[in-house]
Order: sequence, then C-alpha cells, then structure tokens
Amino acid sequence: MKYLLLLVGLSVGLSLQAQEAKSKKITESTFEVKGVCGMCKDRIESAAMRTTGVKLAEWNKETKQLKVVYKTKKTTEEEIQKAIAMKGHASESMPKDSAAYEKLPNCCKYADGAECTH
Amino acid sequence: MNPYRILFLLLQLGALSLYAQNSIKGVVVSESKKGKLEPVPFANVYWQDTNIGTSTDSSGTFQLALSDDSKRLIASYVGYLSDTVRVNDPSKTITLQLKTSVELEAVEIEYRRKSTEMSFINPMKMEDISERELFKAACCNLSESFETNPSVDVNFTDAVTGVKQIHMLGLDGPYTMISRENMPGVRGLGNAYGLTFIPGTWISSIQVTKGVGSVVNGYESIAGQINTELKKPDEGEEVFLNLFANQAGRTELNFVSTQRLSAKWGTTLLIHGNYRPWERDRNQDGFRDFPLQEQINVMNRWKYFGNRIRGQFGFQYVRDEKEGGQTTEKIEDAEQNQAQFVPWKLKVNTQKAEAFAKIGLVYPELKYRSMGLQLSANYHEHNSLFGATDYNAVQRSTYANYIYQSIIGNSFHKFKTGLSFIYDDFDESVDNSSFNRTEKVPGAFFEYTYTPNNNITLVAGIRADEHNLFGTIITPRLHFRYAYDEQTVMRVLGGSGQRTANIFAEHQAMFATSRAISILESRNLPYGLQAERAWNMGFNITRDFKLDYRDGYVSLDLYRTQFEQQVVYDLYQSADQALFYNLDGASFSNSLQLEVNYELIKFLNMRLAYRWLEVRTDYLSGQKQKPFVPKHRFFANLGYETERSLKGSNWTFDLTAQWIGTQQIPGTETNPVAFQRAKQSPAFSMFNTQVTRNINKKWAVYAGMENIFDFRQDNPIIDPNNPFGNNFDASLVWGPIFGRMVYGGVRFRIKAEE
Repeated sequence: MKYLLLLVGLSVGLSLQAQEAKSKKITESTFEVKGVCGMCKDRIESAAMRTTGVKLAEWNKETKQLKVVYKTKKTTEEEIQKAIAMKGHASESMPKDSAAYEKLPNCCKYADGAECTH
Repeated sequence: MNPYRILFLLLQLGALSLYAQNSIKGVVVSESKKGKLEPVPFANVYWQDTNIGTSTDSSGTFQLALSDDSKRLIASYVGYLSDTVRVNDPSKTITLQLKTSVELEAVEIEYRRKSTEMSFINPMKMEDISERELFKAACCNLSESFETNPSVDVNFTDAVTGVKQIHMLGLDGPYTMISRENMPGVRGLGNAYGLTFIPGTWISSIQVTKGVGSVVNGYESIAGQINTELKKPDEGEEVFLNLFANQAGRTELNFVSTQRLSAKWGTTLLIHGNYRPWERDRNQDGFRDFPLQEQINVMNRWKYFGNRIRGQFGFQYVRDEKEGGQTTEKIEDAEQNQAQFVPWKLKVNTQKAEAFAKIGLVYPELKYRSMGLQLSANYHEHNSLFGATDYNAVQRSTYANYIYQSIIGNSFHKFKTGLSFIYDDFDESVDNSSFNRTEKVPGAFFEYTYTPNNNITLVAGIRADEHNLFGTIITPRLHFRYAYDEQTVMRVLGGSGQRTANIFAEHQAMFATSRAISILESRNLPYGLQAERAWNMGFNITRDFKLDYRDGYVSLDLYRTQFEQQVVYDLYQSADQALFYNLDGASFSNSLQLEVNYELIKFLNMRLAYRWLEVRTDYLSGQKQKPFVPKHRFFANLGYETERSLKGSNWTFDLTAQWIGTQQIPGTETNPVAFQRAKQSPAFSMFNTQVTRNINKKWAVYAGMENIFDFRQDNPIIDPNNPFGNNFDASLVWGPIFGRMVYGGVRFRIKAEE
C-alpha cells in the first residue's frame, strides 16, 4: 500500500513539475533541414534532441521541415542547426559539416542524389 | 466506387497517352474502410526532390510532365501516408496508393521508440519487448529475459538444478502459453527446462499478453501468452556474435548468420553453446549452487517470399547436459570418513529435435484474404537422476494449424477460421513406475473481429476440440478494446483455457526432496488426474500522457483466474509428502498491477510498477495462499542512453531494483527442530545493473552485476549432510542462492545495408 501512495505522490510531483515548466520561456520554430528519409530522420531528430534545452524535435521527411521546441534561455535556433550540421545535415542558413557528411551511409547522401527506398 | 470504375479510368488514361508526350498519367487511390480502392481527388503528386508537381482532379487522376532529375513519383494527401513509386516506363499509367493515417501514426512513432512498448491499437494488451530491452540484461536465455519486466516473475525452482521458472499472474510457468512465432514453443516436457533452450540473443522480440489469448493459437493459454520472435532471414544482421562469461565460469557463445540468397530466398543459421565448467558452493552446504552444464543448440531456418506464396521452414536441435548435487570436495571428504558413502548426484540430460514449417498464401489483389498452414514435429527426450530417483521421459508431438482469414462484406468485419490437430505421445517413468499417454486433439476455431472505427475493437472467438482422453473442449474467448480518447484505452477480456498437467516434468524439484510422492486419484486418465480448466477475466486501462514534451503512460491491470478443475500440488500436508489430487473447492488468482512509464529527464527512462497477488487454493488442509508467491512486489527500472556519435558509439546504463514481499513456505514442523524452517520468507530487495559501451556500429562490450547487495537465502537445502535421510529438502527455495554475480561480454554485428 505504501508503494501505491508513493506512486500517487510521484505522479502528483511530476505534474507539478510540468506546471512549473510551462512558466519558463519555451518557443517553437520550424526550418528546413536537408535529408532523405528514415535514417536521416533519426539522425536529425537525435542531433536536435541532444542539444541542451531542446524539448521536442520532429522532422518531416516529405517536406524536409524540422519542428523544434526549445528553451530560449538554454539554446538558439542557430545552435540547434549547428548541432545538426555537425552530423552532416545542412539547413538553409547552416552549411553541412563536410567530414560528417562523408561518413553518412550512401542512402543518406542527399547532396549526391540519394533517394528514399522505403 | 468499384474496381471496374478504376479500371475504366486507367483505360481512359491509357487512351490519353496516345496524344500526350513527355508526360505521365496515373491515378491516386486509397483503401476505403470497406476494403475497396477508391480514387483520391486533389491529392498532391510530385517528383521527389523537385518542384515539378500537380494535383489529382476530382476523379483522382493526374497528368504530369516528366522530370529529368527524378524518377520517383510521390503522392501525398493530408491525413494519409504518402506513396512513392519508381517510374521506369513513363508510357504506363501509374497507380499510387495512399494509406490511412492510422498506419501513419505507427510510422511516426518510430523515432525514440521505447525498448518496451504497449500497443494502443491491439485489442489485447500486449507488451512488445524489443531486442534493445533484451540487451539490458545480457544473460542468457528466455527464462532470464524478463529481469527488466514487471509482468513476468522469474523464480528459482529448487536449490540444485539452477533453473529459473517464470510466473504470470502468480501462476506457474506452464499456465502461460509459450509460443515461438505463434506456434507451440515450450510445451509438455519442455515446461521444465524449455525456456533455457531459447537463447536470448536469438530473439528479435517478445510479446507478453496477460490472460487468455487468441483461440487461433489453441486452448492452452490460461494466465497469459509469451510469444517469441526469433531472428529471421528477412530482418536481422548478416552476422551476429555474442560472447558472454560470468564470474562463476558460465560461458556462452552465440552466433547468428543471415544470408539473402535472392530476392525471394533467405536463410538464417543460429548457433548457441554454453558451458559451465566450474563447481561453486558459496553457501558451504556441500551441494553445488548450480550444476555443471553443457549445451549445444543449433537452428537453421529458411524463408521464401514470393508474390503469392510465402513460406518458412526450419530445424532445431538441442542437447543439454547438467551435472549437479554434492560437490567433489564433499564427496572425496566423505568417502575417506565413511566406508559406505553414496553421493547424492543430479544428472539431467535433454535432447530435443524439432522441424517446423509455415506456408502462407496471400491474394495481392485482395489484401484482406490470406490462408496459412503451420506445421511442426518435435521429439524431446529427458533423462534425469536426482539422488536415488530416476525420472526419464520421451515426448513425440506433431502440430498442424490451418488458418483462413477474410472479411464479411467489408473490412469492419474480419474473421479467421481454421482447423488444428495436436498429437502428443508421452512415455514417462519414475523409478519403476511408468506413465504413458497419447493425446490426439483435432479442433476447429472461428474468430470474429469487429472494428467499426479506430476506437473500438471486438474480438470474439470460439473453438471446439475433441480430446481423445478428456472429451470435448469448448473454449470461448472475448477481447474488447475501447479507446476513450486519443490517450486512453480500456480493454476487457475473458475466456477459458484447458491443459493437461505434466505433473513430474513441471515439479521436478520434488525429486530433490525426501518427500514421498503420491497421486491420490486413480481414474483412467493421465496420472489418474483430471485436465486443468480455468476461466480468466481481466480489465486494463492505459493512459498515455505527455509531460513537458516527454512521453509516458500509466497502466492498471486487474485479472482474475478461477479454476474449475485443477491438479493440486500439495506440499502443505506434511514435510514428508508431495501430493497430487484433483481440486475439490476453490482455487483462484487475483492480481493487480499498476505501472508508470515516463522519460524522467531527456533520455532517462523510468519504469515503476507495483503488483499485488492473491493466489489461494483449497488444499486438503484448508484454503491457503499458494507457496512461493509474494503478495507484494515492487519494481523499478531506470535506463539512460548517451548520444550516439557518427561512428555509432555511445553508452547505455541500466538499473533494475525489485522488492519482493514475504512468501508462504510449506510447513516443516514435523521435522526435528534443527530442520524446521520459518513459515514465511522475509521480504528482500534485489538490484541489477548493466553498462554497455557501443564502440562503433559493429562492436559493443558490456558488463553487469546481478544482485549487487549479495542477498542470499540462507541454508536453502534442509539437512544437506544427509541427502538420503528423511528430512532432506532442496525444493523450499524462495530467494537467490548464489548472490552477487558479475558478468561481461562482447557483441559483434554486421547489419545488412538498408
């Protein structure tokens, strides 16, 4: 029974934390990131998520648009784009890191005409 | 719109092509809820990575100029998953098919998939344990794969064989149907050690479903179903190698190799060897804490993937030898001091050979219709010696299951129907008594699935089987799913299940005791006992939530299993007896499980669970809680993953904590005082941890520690110095015997190029 209470307490605690989070400065923005399909999606989203302050990253492989939600105190759009570029994916205002791009699997080399096969 | 009209449209378009050059024509369609293809008006059609595009007209057709830059044509529409087609011959008309957004969701969640997932759509509450979750606890076979899962308990069976058994809903392993790719996996004699014949690294995923399962898979599941999917020729790595060793000398080698021979044929070879050469006796009772062991396990499987026919077949061979009992030191010592010393030895040798095949026929033009045939043949030989008791058994089984699947009118109403046949032949002997039986069970089943919309699924199934020994078995089962909103889903299930108890194979721990084994019935039935039959019902509510952009879910499970007939295994009567008899009265299991999953901080996943169990049976001595079932259990798992570099290197950390409440222990008050035990075990905690270093995409090393705080059951064996005496008992085991265990290993894999 005490564990049950602990769980209830924990979930209350978590929701309080969420309330608190809402009061912080959080912004959403969308920009284009070059890529091909599934594997690129993982890499782009992971690079964005691993940037401190980023809470959500969703890349659409059809429109090539990346939606990010982040804390403005911790990071900027430019920093996120930079982190993605370091993994080989260029965005409009941020050129790709060529060394990282070279290491991408062939199916992800968007600048060399790779096509989505699935 | 009917298919003829689409055909007509295509013909029209074909006619157009006579006039138009340098352009391509086609139609965009989607499958309606009735399973028919309908054109999609105003869908976008464009060449991939270009700005050349158009949209379909009101009849779903389009005409588009050819592009020099791209040969891939994409059709997309809001709420649908887009379709891409490679255009090789622009003179042909193109059909692009959009899939509905339900499937889109399934694709979208791919990123940041949890290693264990709860299906939202499935009418049964199914936990899908992926290979990533299995990697969290590197050791070793299916029986140990549930260390990071709160729904399945893993318990030691006794103090000599070193074998772990699983429990679900507080009921013994055999009440859970363990299938391999939805075919019989661990049955009959396999119930004892069969789980240890499925190496963990062969498994690509495990599905855990509580309560009665689908009637398509038979009448046996009562407490739940555990289905394992092994690595297959069309997925999996080209090469996988795993080398594992622990501080007690247990060494394992796993090798999986997949070859795609052509577009249609593929084969996978799976090899497992394990070796435990060292003797260990940490508790100094003169008995090996676990036996020396040698296992070789080989499987070769083939897959054929044609347009209409899909088939799989394969073979498995296992040989396993265990040698336990008194330690060499103890035996040598005793032989010097006692003239007529007889050592207490354990020997368990198993050989198992199996062949299986699955043949499926699909109708490319009628996606909802398919038929399949599953076949398997199995030979299992078990020879064992526990001190002075011999237990030998052979099982020969064949299984056939034919499944036809289609719709009634439209795809709101789907059904599966078919016929099955099970043949089991058992020859068992315990010392000089032999027990033989042959079970022949033809059966038929029908399962209807009603899916009026995304929020409701109803699965109603019934099967009738004609058992040559137990008569007609009618098995109704019902599963209902209702999604209250996009985050909340409720499930209700109910139904019956039946099985034949294999009393010796399932309770081999009793051979490691001085208890006199008696069967108190003498009907003309297997062992003189009835079949086991139970009703199970369950309720589950799962709510997904998002807190601070991170996903989580809360889930509550309530299950009740009530036995109509049961073979009662009674250790309560006295410390000298192990009794089997038919249930007279009530026997039930009630279980409640509350689980919370949440990504606590980015990339730190947390899983908390509490489980309450009440499992009670009317024994000869009155209604009692089933022994060795903890009433309360608390479970916590934390997993953290660092960023993957371009090379593919990262770290993963995993910590599991468990608190296991007190358990009932059968009484020992008839023993002399020195050989009496408490009637309840103390509550205890266990902590396991593992760290994995992925060096690059190919290599990974891992190290871990089980039972960090070295908790052990003191004196698990009663009177170990006198194993042929009247008080010896190695079956009263409620906790870990060995204590802390350090292990490590290496994994190497080459993934097929995507």
